Amino acid sequence: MISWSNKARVKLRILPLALIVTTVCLFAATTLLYIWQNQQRAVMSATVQGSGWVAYQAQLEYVKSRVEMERAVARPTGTALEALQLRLELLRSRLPLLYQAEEGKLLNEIASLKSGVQEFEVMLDTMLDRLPTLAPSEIATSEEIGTWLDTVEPLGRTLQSVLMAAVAYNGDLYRRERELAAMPAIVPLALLFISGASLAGVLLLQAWRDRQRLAAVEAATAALTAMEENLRAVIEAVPASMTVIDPRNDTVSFINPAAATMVDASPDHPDWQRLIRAALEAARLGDGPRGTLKMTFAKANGDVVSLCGTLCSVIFEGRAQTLLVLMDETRVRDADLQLLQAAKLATLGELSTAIAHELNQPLAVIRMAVANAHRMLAADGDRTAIAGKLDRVSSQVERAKSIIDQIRRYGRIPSDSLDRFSLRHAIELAVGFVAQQYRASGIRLTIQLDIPPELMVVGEQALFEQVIVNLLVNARDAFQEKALDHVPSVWLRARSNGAEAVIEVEDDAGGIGEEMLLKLFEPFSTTKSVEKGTGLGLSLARSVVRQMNGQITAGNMWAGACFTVVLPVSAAVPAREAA
Amino acid sequence: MRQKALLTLLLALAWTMPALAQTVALRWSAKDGHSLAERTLDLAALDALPQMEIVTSTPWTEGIKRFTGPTLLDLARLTGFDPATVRVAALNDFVSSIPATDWKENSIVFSTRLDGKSIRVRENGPFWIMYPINKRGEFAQLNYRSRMVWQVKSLDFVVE
Repeated sequence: MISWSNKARVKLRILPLALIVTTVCLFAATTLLYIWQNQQRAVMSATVQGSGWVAYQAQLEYVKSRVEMERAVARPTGTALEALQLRLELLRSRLPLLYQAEEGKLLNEIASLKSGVQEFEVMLDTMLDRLPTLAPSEIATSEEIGTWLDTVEPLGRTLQSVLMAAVAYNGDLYRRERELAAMPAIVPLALLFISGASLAGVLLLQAWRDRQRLAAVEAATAALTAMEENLRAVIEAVPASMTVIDPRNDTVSFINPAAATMVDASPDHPDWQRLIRAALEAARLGDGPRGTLKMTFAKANGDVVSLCGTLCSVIFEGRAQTLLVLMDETRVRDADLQLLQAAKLATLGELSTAIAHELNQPLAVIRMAVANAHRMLAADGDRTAIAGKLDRVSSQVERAKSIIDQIRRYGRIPSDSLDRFSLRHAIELAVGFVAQQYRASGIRLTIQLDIPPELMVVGEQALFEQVIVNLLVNARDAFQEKALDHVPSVWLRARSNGAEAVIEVEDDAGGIGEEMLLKLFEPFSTTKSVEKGTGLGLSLARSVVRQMNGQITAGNMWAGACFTVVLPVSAAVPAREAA
Repeated sequence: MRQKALLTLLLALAWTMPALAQTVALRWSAKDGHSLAERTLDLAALDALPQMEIVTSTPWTEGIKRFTGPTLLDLARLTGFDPATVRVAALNDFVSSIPATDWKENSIVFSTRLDGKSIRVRENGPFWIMYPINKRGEFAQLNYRSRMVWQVKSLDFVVE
């Protein structure tokens, strides 16, 4: 099929070329024919006039010579001989012209007579040489010239035949000339007709090809238009926010309804510039695949949405532009929070034993203090001692209350707002929550916080606390079912290097398997037993940290695993509040 | 010197005498026909005029030939007139007319020599008017051919 169409194309290309060449050749032929015919006609007419003329002249001189001869025979005077001499000279001069002149050459009949004519030339030369030697007024002279009359007789017949041939030839020439005159009317006309037909063919073929090309171009244009319309329709219909950005000045050139709902229907709205800058920045800094991005965006009404999406190059309205696709992840994140809640409740269940134990201690102290107070009252003892017992009860109640507060704090469903909070305070609260468990498990927790309480980060404090709790709980769980020859230790460190705060949680439980390390932050990946873990903890932790524009990574240190959280330090007064 | 010239003349006469007298009759006349001047020139008188040469082929000869003689212009102005045409008559009484433009614009030779030799009557002599055919193609055309008269007997110049 392809080869056929190629052949057809080659044919189409050759055909007009051949037609053009044919036309040009025919025109040239017509012109040459015309010129040739004109030349032929000129030569013919020259010949017609000339050939007859030469023969006629010779014939005339012959007749005149005979007259002079007869006159000399009758009276061979000196004058008569001189006159004869002149006549014979003239006759002699005419003879070579019969075959030598251009006119004579055209006549085959005359050319064949050349040798015969030349014999007569020799004869006349002899006579001309003889004449001056003849004595005038002598009978001998008269007699000799009388014999010449007979001698030249054959010349007369030859000249007659030449003249007849010339006349016949003239007639023939005349007929041919008339034929020639008639011919141009047919041949050049036919040639012109063929030329015209060829030209018309070329034009028709060209027109046909142009029409085909035009149809192809129109079809392509229509296809392109349809495609662009389809693309537009698709972009309009997609529930995700789609925005086309002109990369020349980062302005918005197209907004789909979802994007209009999210930001504003007008591309000139200042929020668009804010969104584009944030998106480009997120795509540049993001650790995901090239072109993907995750970001948060504060809408005009104050709502903060979590967005994920891609940036890609598209040809839109005829030039290269950037397409920004954004999905509102806020709902997804809400679902994440639900999962987190579930995980927390699971942790709570697990912790209830520890809580009971924790509460038992102050309760036992209270019971003993109350019993002692009763005994002192019954013995009417010292009031100061009784007051001391009651103070002890009060302090134990405070202790129990603080334990319950922490549990309540953990169980609370986090809100959706971002706040500035003290990083150190949050870490201390998280540590306070797990301290009892660590004590119960006999794990040594070393805390080294090299950050001032004024160091602030932006995020949701409760969620961040849970991230730290999660990391510490994971560290604790890492020691489960492991026979250790040393006291299990966990280190919690925090430090600041200017723009970033770095929090590290390290254990010496032997580290994480290579395979596990790769999918550590994926949901439902866990090494714990089914009853203990949901496999969501680290996945949620990563979501939370990213939400805070931070990063969380894991690696194996010399004796165990180390989780590192890096968070941007908030400026003294956040920009959004200033705005 | 004079003797030598006379001797040459005599020798020339002796040479030509057996043949015909090689002279050409020149006449100048007004338009109404009355004669203005007459001259008869023999070969020697023609030779005394400035000579011109045409090397050309002709329709009547084979190969390239050399025609020598005075120019027709010099002959036309020989007696101080400026003629408009000339009627050339040949020995066989053929007559042809040549307009003055021909000899004024071209070097037309009244040839007395063909390839350096005097021309016999049987060779279309003694005088042959020759145009530079090879220099101008149009001289090969018939109207010019009829002006290249051979065996010239007389030249009748017409002064207007």
